[in-house]
Order: sequence, then structure tokens, then C-alpha cells
Amino acid sequence: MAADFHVKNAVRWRAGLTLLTGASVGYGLALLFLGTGWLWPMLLLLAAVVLGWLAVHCSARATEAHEAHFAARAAPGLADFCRGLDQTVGEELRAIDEEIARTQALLRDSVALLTGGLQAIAMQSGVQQGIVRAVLNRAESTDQVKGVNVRNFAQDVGRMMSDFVDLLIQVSVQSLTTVHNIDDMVEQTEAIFAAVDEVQGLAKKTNLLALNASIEAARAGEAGKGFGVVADEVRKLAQISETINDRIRERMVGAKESIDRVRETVAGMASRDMNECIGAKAQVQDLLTSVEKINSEFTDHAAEMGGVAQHIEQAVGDSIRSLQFEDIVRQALDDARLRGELLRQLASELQRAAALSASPEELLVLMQRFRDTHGEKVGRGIVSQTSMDAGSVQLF
Amino acid sequence: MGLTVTRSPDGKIITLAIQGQFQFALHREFRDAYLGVTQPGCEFDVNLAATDYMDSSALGMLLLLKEHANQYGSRVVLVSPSSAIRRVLEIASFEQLFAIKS
Repeated sequence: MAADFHVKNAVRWRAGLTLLTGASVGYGLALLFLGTGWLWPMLLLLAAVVLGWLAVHCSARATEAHEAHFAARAAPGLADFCRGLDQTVGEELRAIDEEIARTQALLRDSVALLTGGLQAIAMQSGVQQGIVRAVLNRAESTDQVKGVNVRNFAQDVGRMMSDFVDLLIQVSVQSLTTVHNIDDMVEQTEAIFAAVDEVQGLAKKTNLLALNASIEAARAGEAGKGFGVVADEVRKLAQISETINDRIRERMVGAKESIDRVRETVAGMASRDMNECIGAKAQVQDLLTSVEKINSEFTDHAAEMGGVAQHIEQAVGDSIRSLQFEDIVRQALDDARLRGELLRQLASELQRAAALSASPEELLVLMQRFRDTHGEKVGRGIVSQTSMDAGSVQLF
Repeated sequence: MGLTVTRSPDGKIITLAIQGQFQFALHREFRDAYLGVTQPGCEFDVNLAATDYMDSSALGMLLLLKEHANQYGSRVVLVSPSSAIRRVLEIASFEQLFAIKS
């Protein structure tokens, strides 16, 4: 530093003196040309000569100083070197220590956060699994309890449909039997009609016979008078019997009409379209099928959810175990810091020894001894763990 | 549309083939076809191949036929019902009561 100062001073002096020399020559020449006499110009030129010599002298000194300075720089002392080394190593290691401390803090916080998060996931997953189990149990118990249940409802409706169809067919059978009986009865009424017709024919014939008897009685005169009365009575009876016969026929026709109406009604009861029943039964079947499908899907999904919860639990467990890398990394960083500390010790020991004018050979010996003492210790401190595989994690 | 009745030469198999709609209008004809068959061990084949519709009275007629057949130790076979007719038979659970031959 002192040499440097001298060099700068010499250079400044040389510049100043050169400037003054130049100024003196210039001023002297100016005065000479202006013709102010010889004395002042001569004095000024003399001064310029003196200043010029001084400038040359200073220049020589500056060059010397400069060279000396560079010589000093090219071959610094071992002590300086060691002091510089100690200083640089100290500064760099301080920065490295700070970085290591910052990394460790960051790692600690992040791992704590991650562990907390994973534990929360595991807990929530457990809660979720509990809910799924509760829902499943509930579904099963409702299945067992005879209550409002879609499956039971559909089955009941199906049963009712079957009963209804059975009833419908039974009604058809009974109606057909009734219609058959009515048909048989109608055949009987046809016979009655025939009998009535026969009776009517007889009445007509009787009437005709009675008429003939009356005519014969009238022709017989007084002797046939009594016979004529009988013939008239017979005729009246024949007419009455015809009237009665007509009434019977009338009633019979009315009865037949009633029977036909009954037959029609019963026939209507016998004939029912089955397509509605088929459609309704198909709908009930569809309902049952979809209920079964929903039920089995529900059971499958619930089982899947149980499986998923188990997977989550396992994955979280694996993740938490993996977080042990924090310990490995912290140990590795501690090791790095320890190595830095040793480096610092070495630098300061070298610096102390060099300050006591130790030779380079002595310094080498010192360094070798240092390495022999601490090298092994450091090496043993390094964590050999490099893998995160489950089962091979070292616990500290 | 209508009922055709044929008998095998030995008179043991009576075939009642129904064309078109099997419903109430056929009841008399249908009954007349079996009522006179009182010979034991006969088979009534009701051919439904050409039948395209069946209502509840047709089911009733079949049951009455079965009742008659049972009374005289005969049997009833439903032959070749179409898929639509088969659905009607199924809804009435007739496959449990009758032999059905495709």
C-alpha cells in the first residue's frame, strides 16, 4: 500500500513539473517576442531548464518506484497469502453456513407442513370410510326390516299383478261357463216357443171346429140349439186360450231379450284385453331390474370406496415414511458445515504458522498432519443413505 | 279367422287350429269341438301358429278345455305360439299348467 502511494505521488510530481516547465518556456518566449527586455525571458528560460531537469528526475524516480511496486506484487510474502486465504475462506464459509441454516429451516418447516397435511388426509379418509360403512349397514338393515323399501314395493306390485291376472282369467272361465249355461237355456226356450206355437195351432183348430159346430147347430134348428151354445162356449175357450198363448209368447220374448242382454254382459266380462296387463307387468319387471341394478351398483361402489380408503391410508403411510429424507438431508448439511468448520480451522492454523515465518515445507507438514487427524473423522460422519426405499430407511 | 278342427285317423288326436284372433266369438265353436270327445286318453293339440291375438276369454276357453280333458283322462298341448301369444301365456303362468310345443 505504501509503495503504491509513492508511485502515485511521483507520477503526480512529474506531471506538475512538466506543466510548469512548459508554462515557463511559453511565457519566456512570449515576453521575448513582445520585446520587454532580456532579463525576464532569460530568467524564465532558466527556470524552465531547472523545472525540466526536476521533471526528468521525478520521472526516473516514478519509474523506479513503479518497478519496485510491481516487483513487490509479483512475489508476495507467504504470510500475506495465508492471511488472504484465511480471510476469503472465512467469508465464503460464513455465506455457506447461512445458506445451510436457511435450507435446514426451510426443510424443517416444509416437512412439518407436509406431515401435518398427510396426517389430516389419513384422518379424513378414516372418517370417510366410517361414513361409507354406516351407509352400507343402514342399507342392509333396511333390506332386512320389512318397511318402505323400493325392492319390496316392486315385488308386492308384481305379486298383485299376478293375482290380478289370475282373477281376470278366473272371471273369464266363470263367465264362459255362465254363457254356456245361458246358451243351453236359450235352447230350452226355443223348445218352449215351439210348444207355444203348437198350442196356438191347436187353439186355432179348436176355434175352427167350434165355428163349424155352431154352423151345424144352427142348421139343425131348434134341436141343435143346446149344441150351438156348447159350440159357442168351446169357441170362446179356444179364443181365450189363444190370448193366453199370445201372452206366454210375449213374456217369453221378453225373457229371451233379458237373457240375451245378460249373455252380452257376461260375454263382456269374459273378454278382457291382456295387453295392458302385459305392459304393466313389463313395467314392474323393469322397475325390479333397475332396483336390483342400483342396489348392486351401490354395493360395488361402496366396496370400491372402502378399497380406495385403504389405498389412501397406505399411500399416506408410505409418504410419511418417505419424509424421513429430512433427517438424511439435515445430517448431510451438518456434515457439510463440519467440513467447512475444519477448513476454517486449517486456514487459521496456516495463517498463524505463516505469521510466525514458517517455511512452505513446514506449512505442508502442518496441512498433512491436519488431514491425518480430521480426515477420517469427517468421512465417518457422512450418512451413507442415498435411497428412500421403504425398509432401508436408517433411523437416527 | 276361425277355428279348424281335424282328427287323426285313430281319433286320438284332435287338432284345434285357430287362425287370426282367438277371442270370445269363437267360444261356441270351440266348446262344440271338444264337448263330444269323451273317449279317454285323447290329446287336444291347440295349434296357435296362425293366431295373432288372444284375450282373457281365450285363456278361459283353454282352461275349460283342460278341465274337460282332465275329466276324461286326456291332455292338452299348446302348439307353436308366436312370441306375442307366448307373452300372453307367460303372464297367465300357463307354461306351468300346459305343455307348450314350439
